[in-house]
Amino acid sequence: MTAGSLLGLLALNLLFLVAGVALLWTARGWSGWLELGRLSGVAYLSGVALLCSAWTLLLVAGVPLSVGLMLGTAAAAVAGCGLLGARLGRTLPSLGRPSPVPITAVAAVGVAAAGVALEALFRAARLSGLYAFDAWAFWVPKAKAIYFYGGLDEQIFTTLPGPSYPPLLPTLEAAAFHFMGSADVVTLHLQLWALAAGFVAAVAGLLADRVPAWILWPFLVLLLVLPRTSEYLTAPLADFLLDELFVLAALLVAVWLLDGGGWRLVLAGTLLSAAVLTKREGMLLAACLLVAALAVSARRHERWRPLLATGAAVALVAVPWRIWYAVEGLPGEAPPGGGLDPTEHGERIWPSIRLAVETLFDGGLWSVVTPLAVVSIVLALLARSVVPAAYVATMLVLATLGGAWLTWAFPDLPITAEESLNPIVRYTGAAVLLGATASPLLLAAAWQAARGRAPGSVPAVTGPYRRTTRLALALALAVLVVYPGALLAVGGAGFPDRDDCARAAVPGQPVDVVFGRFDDPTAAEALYARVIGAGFVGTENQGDGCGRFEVTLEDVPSLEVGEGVIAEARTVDLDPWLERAGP
Amino acid sequence: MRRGTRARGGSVAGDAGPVGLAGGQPGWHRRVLAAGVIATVGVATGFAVAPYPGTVGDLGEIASSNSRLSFSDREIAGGNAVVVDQAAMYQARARIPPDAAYRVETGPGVEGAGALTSFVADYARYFLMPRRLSAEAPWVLCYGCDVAALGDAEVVWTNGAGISVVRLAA
Repeated sequence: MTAGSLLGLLALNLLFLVAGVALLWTARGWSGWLELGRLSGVAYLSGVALLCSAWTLLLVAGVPLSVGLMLGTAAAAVAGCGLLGARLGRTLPSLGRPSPVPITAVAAVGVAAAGVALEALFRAARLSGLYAFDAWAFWVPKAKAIYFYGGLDEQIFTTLPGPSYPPLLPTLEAAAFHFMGSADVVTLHLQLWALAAGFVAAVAGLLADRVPAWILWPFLVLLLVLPRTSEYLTAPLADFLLDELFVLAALLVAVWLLDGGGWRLVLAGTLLSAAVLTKREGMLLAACLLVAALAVSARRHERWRPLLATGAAVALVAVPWRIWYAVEGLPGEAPPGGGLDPTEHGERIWPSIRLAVETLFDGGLWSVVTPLAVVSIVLALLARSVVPAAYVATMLVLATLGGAWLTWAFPDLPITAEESLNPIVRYTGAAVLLGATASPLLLAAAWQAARGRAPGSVPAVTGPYRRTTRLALALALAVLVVYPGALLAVGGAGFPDRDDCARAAVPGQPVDVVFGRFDDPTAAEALYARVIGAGFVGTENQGDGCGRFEVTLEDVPSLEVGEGVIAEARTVDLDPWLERAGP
Repeated sequence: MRRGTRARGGSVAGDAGPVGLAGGQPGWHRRVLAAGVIATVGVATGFAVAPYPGTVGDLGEIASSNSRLSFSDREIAGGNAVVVDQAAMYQARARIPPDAAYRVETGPGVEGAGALTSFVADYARYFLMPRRLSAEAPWVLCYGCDVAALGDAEVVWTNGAGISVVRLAA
């Protein structure tokens, strides 16, 4: 809740960005700093995936997590990428080279709208308590265990609910605690916010050179105002982290299927590696992605090798955690009976499929995203942009069938979308986010076809149009500054701490006579006994509302009467003071 | 194309399809595509714009209500539906040393207990860490338990309504 916690989180996320930039440079290189800026969201999430996967694997290997280890790992990753990049002939870009992607007024409006929505999410998350049941029941306790005990504490990791759940999210949260300097579960929400903001920036940057702004930004803003996302995006749960990693990987593969840029597959592999270490559904989603990509490459067998190599690398990363919980004797992630025999619980198959489809199309959760994704697929097919359309369609179908399989294969799960009973809603988020972010790519292909152009590129703009670019940027920045500026002007940004419960007394209002405030309840008890012994009847020994213990005579009618009580107390060696009464 | 702009070529390898570029498609087909794209983006824009002010406003309300919370209401958060009395968690945290172990014993005698009070051990594990839960622990967080049945025990704090912190004799 402190400014120090915020700065700590900022440092951690800069570390992710630096590592991701190094990875991006090695895998791809870039022609100008502005281009790097455009891809900074991709770099950031790739850095999160790279470092958190490394830290998770080190924890599984028994290496305790510490700030030194995290900094050392990041330094090693950056140095390794640097050496490899130099070997591959990557060079640093020169300053001042213009961005190859125009920033139009439409894009500026989109940036401003998404930015204000993200700022509002930031404000809501900054002082949020930890309410999500799964968060305090096991995700955050696992993170606290890593933070306090150093490693994957056997007692905690084998007895909490979901013992076979992979530990990347707790590792990330423990890293946040280390950088914040305490297990600050309130400010922790901002780490999840940073991931969400990074995801939006990543999708925008990745698609900006292929999708016109007027197609791209409505979908990104729609994504941020979905009932589900605005409510859960910053909760310290693994669902949206998994969705963000998976969807960005899926988009990278979608574009790789179009242009064959190998760097996209490198980053997709990194993101999927983190996904399979985030939730067990990550394995299922990664498999859906791989199968869909292989299926649409049926006539391009030369694509199979890099795809299979990526899949093998991801599977390899997934193995150590599975060995860890097998060694600990924990039940695995597979359903009872293996979940492959359709004659078992056959009566659940159709209801499970229906539940998965109904959840995917649930407008109360996801607005119109899924119907729009279906229309986008149809339009792309009509435009003969078959590969991306078939890829997205296959993945949506497979992911939905995967959700149906989860419900069917775990007979303990009732056929219901009730979140406390069945994870289908949380699982479906991945398909919905994919639909929302892939739709612009498909629509852009259809639009290009409608204009008689080759699919895949957006006209770059030079000359006089750059003045508009500068104006657009200025507009976006102005809106992004004005919104929080206006809020700060009204109320300022508070940093609550334990001293907030000590409020200055105000003339004309009731006051409390505070005899003492302590962290140690036994000290409060001792003082309380003295105060009562001295005859100050009505004095209470109680919590002060800020986690401390206070000995207080409450609701004294006025400042003057309170000062009289103080004078009386001083005659018996007590030294109370006055504070404003009230809740 | 507007003056001062220059289209970059850049067709995309591997996606031209058997017919080649879409430029070979008839005019009505292109018009259908264009209308479809515009309509789809229009619907997306409408469904993004319509709830936008409400969503941003709601998030602002959440931010305001979060900032109005007392420090302990924010710190206990989800536990407010579980622990019955915040003082129990603060007393336990203050009295049980960080490197000590404790256990949670439950029973029927807690005034104000609700359906979620049964999760108090889970919440305590989260809130009181690094203190460890252990079946043999010398500290007991008693939620309506029978203190007498604990043996040689000292009640170091009680809220007088069924919740207490108890230290067992060594």
